[in-house]
Amino acid sequence: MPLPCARCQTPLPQWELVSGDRAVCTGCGSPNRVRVFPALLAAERPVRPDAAAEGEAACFDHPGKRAVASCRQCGRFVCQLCAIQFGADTCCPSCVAAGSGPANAVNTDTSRILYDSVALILPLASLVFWPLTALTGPATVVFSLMKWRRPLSLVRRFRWRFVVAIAIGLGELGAWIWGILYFVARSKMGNS
Amino acid sequence: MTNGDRYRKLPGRRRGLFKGASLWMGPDHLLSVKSLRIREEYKRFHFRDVQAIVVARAPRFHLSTRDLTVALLWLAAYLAAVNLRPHATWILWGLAAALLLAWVLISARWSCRCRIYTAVSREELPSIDRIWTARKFLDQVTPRIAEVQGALPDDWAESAEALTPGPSAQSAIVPPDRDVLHPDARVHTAAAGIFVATLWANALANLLVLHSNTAAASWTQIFFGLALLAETVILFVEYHRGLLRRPMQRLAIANLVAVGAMYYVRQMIFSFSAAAKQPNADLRIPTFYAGDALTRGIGAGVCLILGLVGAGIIFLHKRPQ
Repeated sequence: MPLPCARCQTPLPQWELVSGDRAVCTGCGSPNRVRVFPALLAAERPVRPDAAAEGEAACFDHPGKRAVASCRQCGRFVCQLCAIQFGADTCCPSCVAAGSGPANAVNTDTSRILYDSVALILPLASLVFWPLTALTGPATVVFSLMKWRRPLSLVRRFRWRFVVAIAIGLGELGAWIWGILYFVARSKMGNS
Repeated sequence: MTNGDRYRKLPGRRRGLFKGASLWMGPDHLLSVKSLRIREEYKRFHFRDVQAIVVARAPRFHLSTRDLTVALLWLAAYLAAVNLRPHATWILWGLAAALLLAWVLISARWSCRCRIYTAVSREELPSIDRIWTARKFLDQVTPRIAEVQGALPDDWAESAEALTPGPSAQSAIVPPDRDVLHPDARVHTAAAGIFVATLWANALANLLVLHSNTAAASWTQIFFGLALLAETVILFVEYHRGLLRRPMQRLAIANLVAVGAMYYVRQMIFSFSAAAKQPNADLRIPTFYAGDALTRGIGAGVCLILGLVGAGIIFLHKRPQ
């Protein structure tokens, strides 16, 4: 059984896996705990769509191949290769790429910018060199308001980072305004 | 239903200073989230596609934000104790030793690596890094996958004898691992050994000259600083040439980060100390910034921790047979 060790990738000894779900790697000596699922046993068969016979519906993107379903969104016929399943529905590659129909309900994002984290880090990082806060304070407030409606993390639910960032940005802005007014007033008192 | 409502948090979370990782369970798939502070990357593993999950015991030395928070809290308590209860500092040192020992033991003995295999991917799950976390993770995930795929036949081992989990050589879409590209790379070289020894020596030297204000003490610090810098460069070169594996390279990076941070810490401490010595100094300025002794103590502690990690990398690594 060529199940590799999770540490060094050496194949684990089959005789140990037959009797249980644990095996000691012969390469690095690490004990491994293994969970195998039926998907491993599914035979690897290449998908070869059947050729379309005379009068049969053919795939929109592969005219010589027999259609096995129609797209739920646009109605195009799709072959076995082009059919993409979303639960009980079938979609064509074009609708999946466009995020239409059933594909729209499925989130396929592979990455996201966390604007709430950017908004929070901006005023905090600028404290390392405090004169920058004259810029980052108001910039944080504007940025947070501009990006408030943007999608958050796939797994994050609340916008508290935006709220804290706005509070810190307003605090920095307020501190600058106070500082400027204080020094102006003091210089006037010194002159008079 | 918001995106957040679709996912349930699974055990395990990796909290680094700049990177993080977590696992979430969706309605029909696992979601692996890798965080880079301002950006997240997602990978989905559908229950119907998962072929195998393998967990292997392996040392994992990782400083999380939680560990750093504990260290900062200890430092704050120590600084307060130095000023208010000097005789209680030995309790804090004992606590620090116990915490450090616990961290080393857990990282070395009760840590693991977890990999998940599908037909087109072979991914490591970084958030599953402790044995108890892996146990909870498997207990939660296995039934869900079995619910979708069904049970394994009794003779699965014979049926799967010729099958290998993960992508085949033709269909592999992941770039080759660096260890595959450089099979002769070693976990530690002579330069790495000297580097770790220098860390220990630096820690010892800082402790020996803790309260010394002589020129020799300053030159000692300069010597070890330059030595560590030169050795770090050598380690980077060895890593780039494929002679050294990643763990020691990361230790070298950690040393550079520590040197940079200590530079600013030292400047701040000297500033406070100099300000406190001014004739008209405000006495509310904290006077427990002892200047050289404090920075040397912190430097010794940091070098000690890095030296322990380096020793762990060298002595706890098991060579493949």
